[in-house]
Amino acid sequence: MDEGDDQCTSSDKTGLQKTIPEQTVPRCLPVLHALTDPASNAIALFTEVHHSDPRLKKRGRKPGGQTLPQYPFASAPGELACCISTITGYPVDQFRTTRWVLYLPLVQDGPARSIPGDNNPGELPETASMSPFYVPVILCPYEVFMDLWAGQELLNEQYIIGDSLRYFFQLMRAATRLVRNGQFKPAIRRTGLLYHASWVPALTPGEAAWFQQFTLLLPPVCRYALPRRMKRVMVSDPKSRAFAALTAMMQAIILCALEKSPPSIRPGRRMIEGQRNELAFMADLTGMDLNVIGHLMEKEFAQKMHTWLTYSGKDQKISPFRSCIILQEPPEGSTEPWPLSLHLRSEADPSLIIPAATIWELTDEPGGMLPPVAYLQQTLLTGLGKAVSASPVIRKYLTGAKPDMGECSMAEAAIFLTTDALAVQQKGIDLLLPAWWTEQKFRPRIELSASRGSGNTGRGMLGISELISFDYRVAVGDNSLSPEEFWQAVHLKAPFVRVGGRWITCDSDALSKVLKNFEKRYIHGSPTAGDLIRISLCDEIGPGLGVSVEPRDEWAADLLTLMRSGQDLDVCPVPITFRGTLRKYQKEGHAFLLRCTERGFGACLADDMGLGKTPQAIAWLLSLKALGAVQTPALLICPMSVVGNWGREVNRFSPSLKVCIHHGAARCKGDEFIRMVSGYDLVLTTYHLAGRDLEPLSQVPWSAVILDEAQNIKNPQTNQSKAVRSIHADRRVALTGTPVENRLLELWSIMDFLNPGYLGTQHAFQSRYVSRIEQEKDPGAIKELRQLIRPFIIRRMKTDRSVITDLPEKMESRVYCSLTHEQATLYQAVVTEMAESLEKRVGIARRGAILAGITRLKQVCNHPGLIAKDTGMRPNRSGKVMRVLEMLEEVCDEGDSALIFSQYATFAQEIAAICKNHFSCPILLLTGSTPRKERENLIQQFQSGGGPVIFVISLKAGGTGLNLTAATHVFHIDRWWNPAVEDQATDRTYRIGQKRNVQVHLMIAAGTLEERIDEMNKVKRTLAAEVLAHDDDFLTSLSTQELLDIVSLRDSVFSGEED
Amino acid sequence: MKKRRNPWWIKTIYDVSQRNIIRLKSEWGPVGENWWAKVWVAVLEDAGEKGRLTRAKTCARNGSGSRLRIETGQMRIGICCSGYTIRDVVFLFPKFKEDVWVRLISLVAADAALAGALLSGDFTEYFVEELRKENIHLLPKNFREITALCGCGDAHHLCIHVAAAWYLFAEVLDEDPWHLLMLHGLPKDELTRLVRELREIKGVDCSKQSIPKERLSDRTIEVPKLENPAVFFSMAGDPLSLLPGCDPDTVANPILLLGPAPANLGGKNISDRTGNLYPVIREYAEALVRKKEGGE
Ligand SMILES: [Zn+2]
Repeated sequence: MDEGDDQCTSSDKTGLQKTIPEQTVPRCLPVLHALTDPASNAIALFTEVHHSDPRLKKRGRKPGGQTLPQYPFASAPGELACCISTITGYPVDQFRTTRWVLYLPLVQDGPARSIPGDNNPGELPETASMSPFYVPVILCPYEVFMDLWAGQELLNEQYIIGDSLRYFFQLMRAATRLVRNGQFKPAIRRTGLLYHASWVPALTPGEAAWFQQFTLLLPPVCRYALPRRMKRVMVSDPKSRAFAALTAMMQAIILCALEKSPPSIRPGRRMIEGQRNELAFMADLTGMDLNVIGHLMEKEFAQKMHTWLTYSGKDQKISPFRSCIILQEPPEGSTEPWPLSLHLRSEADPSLIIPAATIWELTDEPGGMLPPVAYLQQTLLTGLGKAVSASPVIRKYLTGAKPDMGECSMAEAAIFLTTDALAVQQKGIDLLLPAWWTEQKFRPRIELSASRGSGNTGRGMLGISELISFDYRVAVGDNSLSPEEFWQAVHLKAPFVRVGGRWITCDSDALSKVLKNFEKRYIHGSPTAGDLIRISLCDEIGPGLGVSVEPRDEWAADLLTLMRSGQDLDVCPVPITFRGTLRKYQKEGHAFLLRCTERGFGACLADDMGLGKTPQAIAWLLSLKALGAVQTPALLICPMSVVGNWGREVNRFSPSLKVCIHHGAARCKGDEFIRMVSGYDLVLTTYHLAGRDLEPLSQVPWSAVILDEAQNIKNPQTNQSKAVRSIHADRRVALTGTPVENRLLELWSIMDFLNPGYLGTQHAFQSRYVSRIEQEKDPGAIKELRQLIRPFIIRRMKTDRSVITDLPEKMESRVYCSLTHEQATLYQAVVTEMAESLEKRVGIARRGAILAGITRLKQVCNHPGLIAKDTGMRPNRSGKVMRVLEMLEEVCDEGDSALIFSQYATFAQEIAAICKNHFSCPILLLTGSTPRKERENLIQQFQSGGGPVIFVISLKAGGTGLNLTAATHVFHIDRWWNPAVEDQATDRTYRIGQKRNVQVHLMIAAGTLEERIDEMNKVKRTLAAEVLAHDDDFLTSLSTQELLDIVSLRDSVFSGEED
Repeated sequence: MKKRRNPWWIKTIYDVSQRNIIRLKSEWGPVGENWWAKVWVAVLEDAGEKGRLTRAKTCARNGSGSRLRIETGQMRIGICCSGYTIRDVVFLFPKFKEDVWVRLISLVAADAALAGALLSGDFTEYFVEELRKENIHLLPKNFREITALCGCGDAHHLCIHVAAAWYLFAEVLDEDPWHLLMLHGLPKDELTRLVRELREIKGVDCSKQSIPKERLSDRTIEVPKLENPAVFFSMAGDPLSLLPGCDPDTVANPILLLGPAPANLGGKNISDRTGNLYPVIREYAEALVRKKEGGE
């Protein structure tokens, strides 16, 4: 500002007003200009003042001189450096000052200037010849320029900002926004033989177009600047000049960002030694040293990275693009046209969708984000080629040299959506269709509200057949319409219609068919609670028609809550009359039974064998009684082999329940039966008798019918099943240990007993589920059926986490087996014979007779064939063998392995032989006569088996070192006097650290000496070990009467005569 | 069968190794899977006599073909229906004249869907149909359009050999219908090249690009002799109206588009490592934008 201020006002001419808005800026300030060059890493700034230096003017007149004239209106840069330093904080002595070459048009006898000065009179010529001048500049590095841009307002006090500087400020602003948007990528640059990585712009086509436009704005003064004088004068073209500046600005922002928050790359020694190239690449990009200072990328590595960064690798997996066709709905308020347009879409970034019009006009420019144009165009073309062959609508609208969009009629849009769309997609083309077409939530669905029907009488045990009433509306998206409104809207036979202000899809033919059926059945028919449950569990009431159900009264609310809560069961208190403790899951089972039966629904308890279904059922019976809900007895039907077990378990857990067993030749019949049962709480009978005595049984108004081993009615056609299903009762419960869900017919049969009609007729069930599940393995059908039965079946497995933590490692259960008629008779005969022979003998002979007699009795308990080898070893001659087979079947069904211990080698052989006839899994047999080598083989085979294996072992043989941890079930098929022997055998199956639980089943022939042995053993177990050194011998020391007390048959009522 | 002696110039099926024998893949029913092969077969079946065609089909199924050659304008195949002698069958296709090719090429280049079908290799009905509208027939309309020659003495124009060859060629077309271009005079690759040229699509599989050396004279212009001094210091418009990146939500990640890099650093792909730098950089720039432009 060495010029006088008085000059400022001197002249004010037209022609330059574009540059300086005269009204707002004091004319006296100098003008600040900016120049760039691709070869410079800084922006050159210079100030233009109002008065020229006369000395410079003079030198400038010398033509053809060795040195160029100095631009006469530039001032010395010192003051400028101070000012920028104040704004940016960049040390003033760090600014480099130098001179650049600038070509300017000559006006009269001096170079052009932006401020009207003393030598620039009013009229300027249209053109003027160009001449070079030196201009003194200070070099402002790009990162400093960033700060200058941020604080540019401060410049206004001292300078007028020239258009050139305004231009670069604006470019800086753009650079910031581009970096903010992530539009940058690494690139490899080569200078001489050196390779560097740096950041370059990665512009979208839209941004590239912006940049092209922006380039055109570059003031001419910026176009003809050179950092130094050159012989052959060529200057960068405006676009590369501006691009270089943009690149440098973005790079500066990025490096500042990374300097502020550096990434955590911590190169270890191995990295520094082995990955110097990779580290150098990252070091260049981040501005960190990464311990590779001085190392530059090697040529080969740089080449490899360059190939990647420019998408030019031959086999490089360019993150692929796909052709994409978009169909949009017509403008609001009209029904046509439907715009159909062609695009490319990135698979890596599905939000990147580029219109075809852009792709056709795209050119490969530096700094573009997209893969090479050839790739994009080819992708678009091939996609279109395929799409056209798949869709007549596309063929109509998207052909021609550079197709990009068309407008379909409503009918065409309908064809496109309903038929073409799928074919187009199958050709690998992306489709973007209106949300209401693709999204489920915009499909019409039924909103049902349900309440208990008025036709029901006060009696509350109708369960599944309780009458209810439905109301409905049709919902679309968030709108809900009355049926009339809906029909009004869809009467047009179109695949989509406007309903309640939005488009919806609906196949009106199909929909009206489904709706008509629905109305006929549920609105005008007489729907039941079963229907409500079914609808609330399935989400559809017909193909494509979803449904949601809301309650309209408390009764329906309670029912729906129950159905939706699944098996999260609140535990209800177990009545104090129950003797014993239920485990947590058993309490849940008890609650489940109550929850279902008190609403009139039948329930199935299908826990794994050994989880204690019996106590749960007994607790449930006691709860019914405690709640005062029952006035009449309950009927329990079970296989003959477990009648005894039930009798004992009921006595054990609830002595207060009065139990009667309807069994045997002397059982009550007719009216006598009806009179008799009214005095009991629970009547036990067998499936066999249920079929035979249906007449009296169906006369009794049972409070409940319980089926144990409910798989006995698996074949719904048998008389026995029909009879059981026909018995009337207020409550129905089924117990089974088999995985019913996988045995569909059995499932149907049990469910039809529990909730008649719920799963439809057997025929309907067969066609809806059985073939779809068993043959087609249709996951939809499986899911649907699971949902349907879930409210009524509870099944816990030993392996369930919640159950397993609740179980002890070893669970022992006593299984009381009834004797068959033959067994009972034979047993009685042996006892009688024994009594007679003992009368006559003493001493050794007596002892011998006792031992022989005991052995014979035990053998009768096992199988009568063992002493009467006349008619072979049919399993149904022995109650115990039958029961073992039933249980083994469940074991094998669960995929588990079992050990069977017997003290008699012959019986072990027989059992193994019987098992071989019954099961397809491997049956192994180990007795005293098995050679040692063979024995090891067997054990190995047992331990390594993947599926179920049954291993029969004669206990005496199992003396040493057996490790049989593969077993989860252990059967002691006959009893020892010494429980320690049994324990020792059992212990082989579980060692410390074994993860699973072992179930031990002690098979006891009910009413026989085995039961007595067991009772004594129970006592013995509590005594010290040395007292236990008993054997059968101990019996010989008893008196004949004591002995007969032990061996004589009790409870002969359990013996069967059905077979 | 007893081997007969043959003159040396007549080849027999025994001269062909089992490996090179061509037989129909279709074991029963009609021949031809794709629509164009069905059209091809229909042309034969319109012209031939049923019994003969059935025998020819059986013959083609039994492995009668050998020595298939497809050349510009013609297809040759050896057929042996007797179980012994091979008859050479030749199909001469009508070659398109040059002006037809010129029309075809400009037609394909001018319709993106046709060019796309050609480039994608999808022999679509649209492609054939559009050409047909211009009276250019890639598939024959009738049997007589193809000149079928056979070396046998059978007086019938459509002898069993020709028919068998026709069936066998149907399956050749099933595999690659673009043979039809070559048979009409121009290989597909050549047509593709010409169409690309016309549409100005450069080869996609660019050969290895070397890194350009940065030279100052890369993109340079000469300083013009004259300039307008009046606007020399001015911008040619208002830059404020031009600003990129106004919508920060709809941007793509350039690193994602590149796919995985050919190098790892410390077990992590360079592409991931580089991509991980973006969030802090963008955040920093976001702060700059907000500071400068206020609550925009
Ligand atoms: Zn012939």
